[in-house]
Amino acid sequence: MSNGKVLLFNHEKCAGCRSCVVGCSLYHDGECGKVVSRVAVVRNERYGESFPVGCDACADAPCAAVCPTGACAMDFEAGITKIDADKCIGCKECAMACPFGAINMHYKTGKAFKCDLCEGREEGPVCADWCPGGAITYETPGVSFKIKRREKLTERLQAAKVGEEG
Amino acid sequence: MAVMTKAQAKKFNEMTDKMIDVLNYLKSNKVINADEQRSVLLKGFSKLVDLLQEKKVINAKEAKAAMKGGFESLLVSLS
Amino acid sequence: MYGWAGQRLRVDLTTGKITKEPLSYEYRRKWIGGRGFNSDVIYNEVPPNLDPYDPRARVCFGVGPVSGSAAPSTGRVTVAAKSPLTGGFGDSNMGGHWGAEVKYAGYDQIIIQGRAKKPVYIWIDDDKVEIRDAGHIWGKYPRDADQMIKEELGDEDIHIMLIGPAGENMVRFACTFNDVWRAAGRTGTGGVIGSKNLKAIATRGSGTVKVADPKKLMDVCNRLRQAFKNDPMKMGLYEFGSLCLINVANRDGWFPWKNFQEGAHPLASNMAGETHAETVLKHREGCYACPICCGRFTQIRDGKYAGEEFGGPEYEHAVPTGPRCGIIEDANDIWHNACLTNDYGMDGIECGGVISTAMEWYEKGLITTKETGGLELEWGNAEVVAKLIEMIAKREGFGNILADGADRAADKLGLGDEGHYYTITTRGMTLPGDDPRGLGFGYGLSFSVGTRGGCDHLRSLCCLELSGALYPGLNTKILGDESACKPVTINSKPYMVYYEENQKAMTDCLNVCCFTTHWSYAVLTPDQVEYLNAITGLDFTEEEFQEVGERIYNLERAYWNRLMSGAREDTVPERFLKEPMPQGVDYQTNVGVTFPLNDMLSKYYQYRDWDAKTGFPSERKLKQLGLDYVAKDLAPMRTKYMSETEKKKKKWYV
Repeated sequence: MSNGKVLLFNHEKCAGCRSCVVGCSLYHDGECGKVVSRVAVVRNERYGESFPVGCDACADAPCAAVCPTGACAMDFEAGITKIDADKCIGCKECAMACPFGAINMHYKTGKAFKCDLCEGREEGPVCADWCPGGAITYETPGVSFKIKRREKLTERLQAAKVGEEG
Repeated sequence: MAVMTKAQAKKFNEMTDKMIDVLNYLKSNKVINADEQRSVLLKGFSKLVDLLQEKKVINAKEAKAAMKGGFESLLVSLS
Repeated sequence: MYGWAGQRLRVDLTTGKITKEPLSYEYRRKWIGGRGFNSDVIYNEVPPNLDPYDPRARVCFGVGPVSGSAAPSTGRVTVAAKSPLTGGFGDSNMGGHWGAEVKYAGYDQIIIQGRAKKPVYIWIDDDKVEIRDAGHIWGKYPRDADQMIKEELGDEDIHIMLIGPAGENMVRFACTFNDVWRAAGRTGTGGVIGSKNLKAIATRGSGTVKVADPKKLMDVCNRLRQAFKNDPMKMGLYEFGSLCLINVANRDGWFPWKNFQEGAHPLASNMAGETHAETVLKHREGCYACPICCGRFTQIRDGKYAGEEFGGPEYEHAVPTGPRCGIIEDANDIWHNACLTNDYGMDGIECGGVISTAMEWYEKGLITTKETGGLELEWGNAEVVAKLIEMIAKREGFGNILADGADRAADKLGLGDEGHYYTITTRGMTLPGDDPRGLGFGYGLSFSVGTRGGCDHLRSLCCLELSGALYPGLNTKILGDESACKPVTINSKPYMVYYEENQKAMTDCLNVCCFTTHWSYAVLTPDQVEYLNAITGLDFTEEEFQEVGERIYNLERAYWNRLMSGAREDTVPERFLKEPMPQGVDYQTNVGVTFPLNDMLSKYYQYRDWDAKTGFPSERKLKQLGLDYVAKDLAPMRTKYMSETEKKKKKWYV
């Protein structure tokens, strides 16, 4: 049974630094670059916006659903789909099916590659570990959403108070 | 180990910037050679302490004290 | 090849020729990359007496073996050219993500020479390089030009170096940007790029940085990233940006008030990072692979500029067109003026500097509304400052005179020595917002000998005297003197500046952000040697690391010496030597201080092994650093510098 932890992406806290991107590429591929990273950051320079994009560990994953060979399949222990490179034929259907664009084709093999939550890394996923602003976190969704509800409620109460005073 | 007199140490202590003067003195008194002088100049005070400890000019206790007290402490150990 | 891409790209805009030059191991080992490659090219290919705007001049963009890797903060690019402002060696460094992209596209350096017949931009798509028409984006602000190029090329994820209208108009302190807002501010490189009719270099890179020992690199990076998590400077910079300095600057009396007449003001906190974060901070920004993320994105929310937004500002960007001009009451005026210098594409430091100088000329009656075309240059008049920023960028009226820099303006207006007293420059370049009577004696010493025109906080960035106190034992470890962590003391400052200058120069070669190694000291030289070796598979030592820095520093110094600039010009603006710091606030710590340059300068020459009379590096030093050809170049210059003719020349810039 998985430990229940997944990656959560909060663009409000993302500074766009791509520490996640470069750490992921080094950890998995031993070289540094955006093209071999399993996580990406989309930036709108003009408006000062940035969005981390990675595998959201869908419970009913479209990537696994469309895979013709079973290469992309849910690993129930890890709690995330994984791609078996030996079975992958590089058809790109999983990359097209992912609603977030979190799957890409590897420049060396032409096969699909995606996040595996840095299986085996003691400190957990590199991206969450290295993120300076806490935009990517590795946690149990249930716990995280409780915290988020409380934060949002506090914000609303503050705004109401200011509204009353003003 | 004393490689300078207390009077010399006092002169150094009165200088506001003393790294190069201390190194020149140690070199002309053959405590360190030209390469070692250059190495310390490039790398900093902790390298001087390491070097002097390696050469047994100061002992481990004095080296530790120097890393805490800087030149003030080191000059005491050298004089 | 590990680390490096292994080649530089040379584009000749006169002929349209594009060449890729391989870089040998010997060359890469000697010059490393980034600033090292740039300084070598400028020294060899841009003769001393060439007009910086001549088509034969070069502008270089350098990245290094560590650029684009997972080491902390690897997006930086060094831009170098003969400076239109000072006439001497010029360079500047910018953050952002373009540097990593250049590396991923497969280049360690880009050299631009010649001049295009009409406005162009360069599109680098990995190994495919083309020169494209830029008529439709010429004249546009960087925020618009960036968008238009991305739409034209059909890719919003590319990264672009570009200049603003001020660069196109060859304002002598126009700057260079990438990713719209990240500026290489100083020395006027934007004008050199503009003089070549080049608007931008758009880049897409699909490569990677190859690593010799990935496991080792991962270990080092893990360790350093953990160190940054609790690092005190990281926390201050992330929360409040470089504006976190405002309250400290005010307390320690280095806050530039009215052209450095004073060093503190009761309302300074109006523009502090803490205030900025509560009122106008829209977004925190980080450069490539950075664990600090000190960048800001500002959105003005009330008043007449409500809705205006821009990337930045930094401390150094905001203070010159703010408190240095006497503006502090309404912070929105300060943010607005910073936005203007971004949109027009000018160095905020030099622009605010020349305006505040003109304000002091006006105050002292050296100029009147006759010279200013009717503008009343009263301290604190934010609208006049905004108007002047526009006039300078467009080279209109009085702005056209100021656009050539404060010392040339003083000459043009016939203001003599008294006028030059208020320009606050060394070698033609003005001071950033760091009054040496407060920050600090080390900074001030490095202003006097800086190799990109003095008055420059970034040649040494000797933060051992600024943030050093946050790292107990660090000043002892490097200098053997903990008391050096105080800014207003001369203790160990000559050695501090020597050490930090070498460190900084090598950091600029790698090309990583100096905020990780100066300011925050979470990364020290031994850490950098570790990640450099893990990436390249080579065997650099700490000595070699620092020695490369020393080599580059001496080469840049020699560039100035060839232009007859040496010991006589090694000084700081007279104001700091003569005028004791007045009291601006009751908690100010440096009241009464003047800057004691001569207590430190001769000692510094000893560290550098420079001749005290000429300020030229000794032959022995040059040969030790493998710069025999430089020793040959300087041999006839030494006596010439000491000649009576040279001694008589009053040289503000070369």
